[in-house]
Amino acid sequence: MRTAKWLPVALGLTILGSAPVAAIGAGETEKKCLFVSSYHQGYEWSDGVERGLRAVLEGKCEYRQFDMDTKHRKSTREKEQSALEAKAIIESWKPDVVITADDNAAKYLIEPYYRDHHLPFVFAGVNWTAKEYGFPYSNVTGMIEVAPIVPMLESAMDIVPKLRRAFYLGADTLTEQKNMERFREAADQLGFMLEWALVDSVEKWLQVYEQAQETDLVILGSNAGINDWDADRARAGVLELTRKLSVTNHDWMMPFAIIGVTKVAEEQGEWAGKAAIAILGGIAPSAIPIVPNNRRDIWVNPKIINAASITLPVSMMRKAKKVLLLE
Amino acid sequence: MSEIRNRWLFKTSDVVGFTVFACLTCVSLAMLAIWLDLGASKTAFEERVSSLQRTLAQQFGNTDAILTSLAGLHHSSDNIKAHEFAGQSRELLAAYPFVDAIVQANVLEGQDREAFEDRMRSNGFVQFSLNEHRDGEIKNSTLGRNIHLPIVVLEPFDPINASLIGYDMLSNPHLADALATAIASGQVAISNSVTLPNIGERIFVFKAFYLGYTSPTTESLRKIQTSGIIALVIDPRHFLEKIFRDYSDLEITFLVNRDASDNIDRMLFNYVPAQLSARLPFINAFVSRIPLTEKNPSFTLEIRSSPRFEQIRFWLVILLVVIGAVGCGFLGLAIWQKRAGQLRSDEDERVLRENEIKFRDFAEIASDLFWSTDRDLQIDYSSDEPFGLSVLPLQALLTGEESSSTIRISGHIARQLADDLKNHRPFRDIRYSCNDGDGPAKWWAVSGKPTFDSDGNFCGYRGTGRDVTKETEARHALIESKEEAEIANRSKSEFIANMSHELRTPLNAIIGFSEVLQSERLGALGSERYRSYAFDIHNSGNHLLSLINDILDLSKVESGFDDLNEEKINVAEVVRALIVLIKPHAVKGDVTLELDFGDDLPPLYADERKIKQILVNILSNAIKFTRPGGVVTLRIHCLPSGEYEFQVHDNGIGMTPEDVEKALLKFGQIDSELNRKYDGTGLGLPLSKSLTELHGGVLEIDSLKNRGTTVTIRLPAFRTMLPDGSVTEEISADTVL
Repeated sequence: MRTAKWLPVALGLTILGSAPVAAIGAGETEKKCLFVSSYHQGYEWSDGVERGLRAVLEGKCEYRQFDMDTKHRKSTREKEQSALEAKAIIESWKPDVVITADDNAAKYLIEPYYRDHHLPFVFAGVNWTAKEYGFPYSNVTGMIEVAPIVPMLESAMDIVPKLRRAFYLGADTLTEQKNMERFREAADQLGFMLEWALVDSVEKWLQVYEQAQETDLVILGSNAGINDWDADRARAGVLELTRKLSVTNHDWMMPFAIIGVTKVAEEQGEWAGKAAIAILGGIAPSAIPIVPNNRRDIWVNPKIINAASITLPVSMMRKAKKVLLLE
Repeated sequence: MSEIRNRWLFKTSDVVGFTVFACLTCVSLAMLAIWLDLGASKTAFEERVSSLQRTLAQQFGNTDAILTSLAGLHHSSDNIKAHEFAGQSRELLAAYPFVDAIVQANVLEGQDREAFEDRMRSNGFVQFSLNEHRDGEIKNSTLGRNIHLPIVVLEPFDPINASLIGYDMLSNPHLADALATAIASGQVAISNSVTLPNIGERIFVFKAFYLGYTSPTTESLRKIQTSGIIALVIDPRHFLEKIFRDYSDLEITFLVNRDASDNIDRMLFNYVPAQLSARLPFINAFVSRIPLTEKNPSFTLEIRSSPRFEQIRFWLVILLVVIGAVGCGFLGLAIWQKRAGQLRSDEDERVLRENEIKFRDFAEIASDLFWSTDRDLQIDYSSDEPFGLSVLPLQALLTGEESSSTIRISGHIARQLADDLKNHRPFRDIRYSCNDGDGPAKWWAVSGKPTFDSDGNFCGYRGTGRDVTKETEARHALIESKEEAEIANRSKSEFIANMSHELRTPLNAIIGFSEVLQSERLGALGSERYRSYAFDIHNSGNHLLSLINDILDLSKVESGFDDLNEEKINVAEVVRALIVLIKPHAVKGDVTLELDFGDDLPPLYADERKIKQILVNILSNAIKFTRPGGVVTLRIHCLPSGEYEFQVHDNGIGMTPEDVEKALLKFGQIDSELNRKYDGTGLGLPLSKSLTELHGGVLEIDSLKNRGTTVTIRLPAFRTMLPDGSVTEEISADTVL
């Protein structure tokens, strides 16, 4: 019905030449796509997802975005409130498809309110598994976020063949606890011991980092959740303290690590956008399988390498992206 | 003889037959030109097909190269990782956009299936399971086989293609044959087309990669050392259309024979560029078939030429058929028109003959004379055949030789006729008389009309003549009778006028002396009887005098000797004066006399004495023929038209229409009791009528027996004086007369 209502307007615009009509056709450009981000604009991961999404949806549908801002609205009540606000927007604006990014949107919006609903959802950036939220639903598909843990540890083991002990250092958050558990499973699989510490201040982070130099490998988790994070201080501390190989799966942690095997945030957004377009084109969400992310990048940090007097294989140095070039 | 041959030559069937034969000849020549490939259009088409074949070979060579490079990646690496294979695939896809997707499938033994599925699920494919595509749907089954070839890597990795992850390609019989060929041969093998859910119709191009750094050299080794399969997923339309765009002058049909046992080709798609949508009529396109694969499945391209190749042939047809047909058409039309004109001419001639005969019959039967002349006015036709006596005087009249003949014609008419003939003008009803032999003269009336040819040149005259002898003689007799009657009437009036004058002279003596006797002025008569005789003499004398006066007046009018003494008169005063004279008669007859007019009557320009005479006569008659107690009304007024109207109405004895007619005759007084009671000359009404008409007016009588009579005298408007006292210009002697 909405199509019929807006069709004359679209035709009028076409005739007047006052607005370019995308090749997808007048009937499709008026579709509405709502993007619900769990976090806020300026958060690097979310921005990457949003870039990928916007690049795909540009000109394909009317785009709106709602940020739940759960990095700042941390309490359960606040997150639920953000989800209700998103729900209110959905009910008033009536989008044709909703794209969500990261776990909180899935947990507080899709699972409680839109399970097997007629409104299609495409999620992106749900960590590791969708089973936690009961996915798949008949109206939900998406891309889950899998950190390339094993490939990264395999690369580390190529450099440190006698890897026996490794240390995981991250922020004291629920997400980091889950990540750490993944690393523990991988360590078991690859045959080394994993120690770990989750901290809530940069000072503790540096202290633990120093202690971690006693092991064969330092794995840096995310710093998101360390409220007093000071990048300069952390970088200076790392340059001073590093003696062992450090790795990370987070590109924003690369200033503090030697090797990074990272996900590509844009891939999540691009996938979600393409899935949304396919759904708008008539494909049922259930016909699109839930998949993990597929792309990765490899990084090295020459500054820390030099400071720590660590030698990396020539092939890796040739292949990997250099952190300094991007700073 | 000539006419007979022409009629035979121009028969309609012959014309049609000749035209059809000529057209068929043209068509045959055109077909011959096409068969001989004049213009070398077939050669040009074959060169284009050959070029297309080379392009296709190059494109197929590209697929071989892609697959070989990817297989080489596996052979050259101890541990090629999925993301490395995907990275290579992305680069190849960018370089070769005709490939829709690149997939890798690994050989999986049945007993490892569960562990494999668990591992895939733990790596993020939460719904992963081996599947097959059946009936357009994805089913979680692999038909219980021990060997599987599930797709584990694909690029581009997008939501639509993602459904191919876990697809066991061996489960599809259309793919299985090509897979077996690829594995056993180590070469590239093309699958049949398969329909993939949400993706559409695709063709797979397979190449196997094997364990070890080099490919096995025998078929048996290849079968047992197969590690996996690399496949290019190709949309055949997408694959070929990119090529076909450079061959927009060809219509290309992509055919597939899926089963070698039946030789029925199924069309996968038909590439028809927009400009090929309309084909040329009567021209069959060149057709060529290019086999893309020899074995099962066999792909074939059927190529048809575009109108570009057919244009030369088409124009040959146009040249030979259309121009030939037009020429034949013109020839046929010309012959047909000639034939039709001949038929029309025959018909016109027949009609003309009939009309001429008809005209001659009419002319000869008619009492009138029909004639015509040549341009020299010599009569060349006359209905009085052979030229009768009536024609010769006419010829003389037309040529101006009437003076030398017996023709009598008025001079000015003869001059007018000569002028008309000279200037080639029509003339009408020219009358002349002539003597045809010894008999009496005959009168003729002739009319003529000049004729001209289509260029306006004078050709002669056509005309009629009519014998008007009887008509002319009758008219002459009538004129003579009228003149005689008028002379007689005038003589009579003059006689009566003279006689009346002569009669009045002795009457004056009789009336005068009888009055002296009656008054006994010279002494008493003595006897009463003398006095009675004297009274009778006096009355009789007066009556006779009155009669003579009326006769005199009437005679004057009729003889034209009476003139009007016109002046401006006040009608009201005039009427009141004459009423004084009339009123005693009314009183005596016990008749009431009523007047109906105002003092604002306009002046009347007329002869006062004659107006009085008219009114006295009318009023006297009204009183005379009204019984005691009756009423006579005099009404005077001006009509809206300006006419002056006097109306005398009585309720007396009235008259029948016959009486009215009689009363207007001289001495026509009707016989009645009242008439005998009152003496009268019987000339009053005729005299009044004559005097009224002398004024240009009319006198009308409207009467009903025993109901009364109304006499209306209406004088013309110009006699009514204008408000400023002037008289209209129309009042003149001529007008009045």
